[in-house]
Amino acid sequence: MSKKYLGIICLLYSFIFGYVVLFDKLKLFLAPSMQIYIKLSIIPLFIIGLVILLNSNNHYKFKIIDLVLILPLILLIVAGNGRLSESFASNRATNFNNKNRVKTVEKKKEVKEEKEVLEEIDESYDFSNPYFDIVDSNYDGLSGYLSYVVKANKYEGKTIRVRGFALKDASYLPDEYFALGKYSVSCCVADAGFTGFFIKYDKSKITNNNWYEVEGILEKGKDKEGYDIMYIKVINIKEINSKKEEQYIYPCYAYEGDACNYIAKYGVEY
Amino acid sequence: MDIIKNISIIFISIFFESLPFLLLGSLISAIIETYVSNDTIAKIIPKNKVLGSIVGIFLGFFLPACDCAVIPITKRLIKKKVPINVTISFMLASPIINPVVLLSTYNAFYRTNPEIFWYRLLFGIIIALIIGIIMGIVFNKKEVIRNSLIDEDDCHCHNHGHHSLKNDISSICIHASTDLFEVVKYLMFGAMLASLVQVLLPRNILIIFNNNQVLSIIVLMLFAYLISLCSTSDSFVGKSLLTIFSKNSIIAYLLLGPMIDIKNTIVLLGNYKKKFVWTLISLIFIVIFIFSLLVVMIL
Repeated sequence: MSKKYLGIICLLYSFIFGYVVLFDKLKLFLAPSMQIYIKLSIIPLFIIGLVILLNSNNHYKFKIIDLVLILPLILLIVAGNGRLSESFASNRATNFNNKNRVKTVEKKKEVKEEKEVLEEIDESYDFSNPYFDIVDSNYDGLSGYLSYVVKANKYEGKTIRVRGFALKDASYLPDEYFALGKYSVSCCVADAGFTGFFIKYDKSKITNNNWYEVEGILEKGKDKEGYDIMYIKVINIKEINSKKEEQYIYPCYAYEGDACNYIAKYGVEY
Repeated sequence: MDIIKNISIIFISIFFESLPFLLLGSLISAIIETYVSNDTIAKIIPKNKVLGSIVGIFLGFFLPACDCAVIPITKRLIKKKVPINVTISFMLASPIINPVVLLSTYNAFYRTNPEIFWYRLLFGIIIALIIGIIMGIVFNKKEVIRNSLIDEDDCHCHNHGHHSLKNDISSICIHASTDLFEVVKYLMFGAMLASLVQVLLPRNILIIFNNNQVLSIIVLMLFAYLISLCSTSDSFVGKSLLTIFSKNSIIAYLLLGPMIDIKNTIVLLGNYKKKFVWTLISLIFIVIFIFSLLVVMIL
């Protein structure tokens, strides 16, 4: 039995991978672009496991430490529904949507970079559209772009609708604002950061980490340190059921295929 | 309860992200063991330490090995009597210069900060070359791999020299599984430690250090070491840190993460001798720190 142990573990991993693929659980742990590698590993692991179980030349000696190899199975069970708790986002506030915060010494370069990015945005989105619905595929893009377009006036006055969970304690937030956002995942959940939008609203009416749908008008303001921000002035706000919401969004490059070009061109759900 | 669940989710995500690449590395290692003889390697690898390390770096570009996959391949190369300088240069360069990581670094930085892309690539190569040569001078093969592992799977298959499809498949499967799990069992401890750090260490404390050039380099090097992200995803986390940290500290972060982290330290300690591992880690920290200070002068 002991010399067949590694074969059994190979088969176990192969079945775990098969299970998460078959029951669509993989998205709880990996971005779409990384999921292919798990799918490609299922058959090699199965074959290696099978060969070891059937081969008599294997001289492997079992050690007690090898029991640690079943840890993924145990922790997959402990992970339950795989939803990261929203309170974890407070630990990730450095990823908050201030992508244009550049230090003063780099100001010259900033102006040049900003111009280039704005030109790209001009080509990417339809600014004649008065209404922007933030769905998962344009979430990261628009959140990031809002910090760039703050000086371009192109989004100001537009109506926007967005869903996400609330963060009241993000470090840049002025007193009368909260942040609404989701976890953004580039490769796996270990690199998840918070990506979101500034919402101007009476914070006392909001419960930290609860999920809301906000509809409002985009306006300009200042953050705690005096940087320009684009925020949403609330028209309607309602609490929504967190269990029905996807808590992860992915930057366009984290999708399989040429999603960046697709999203830039159409700005709609991928 | 939430904390335990979060730790489990982060652990599983690191496991899912790493295992396919470890499997790939183990399969490459097993194929080397089955088809490439020690004599062939001795003929190909130059004796000169500088040229040897350059060959190691080239190998890093053509073998699609990230920071997880390089460990079984490196161990196999050392067992195959490839000089230490070649294997270390390969191990350090490959996670930075392999095409997949280059593409992700390009996507993350090239549009807004192309110099970060170039510094990561060029300094990655130069640092791998320097550390490879130093380690090659200081250590020889016998001082590197833990005694209990040196002959563990060398001659158990009795297939070498009798190549038939059945024998070869059996040999590759047995070697791949031994290599894979010798690394994976230490990955379990490393991934657990990294998950604990991810959940329990508040990232906001990083902001305290962002005004001091030297401190911010050290803090981001330690951050890269502790959070143990794979070399593909750390580009994007590095990009988000660019909003609050200077470019040179981001470059230090991008160089150190792929070369060493807490997860790989535990895997290395399980496979190599302590003196070798701690010398390697110290050198990586010191050389990257010096190069990051150089960037301060250039930028």
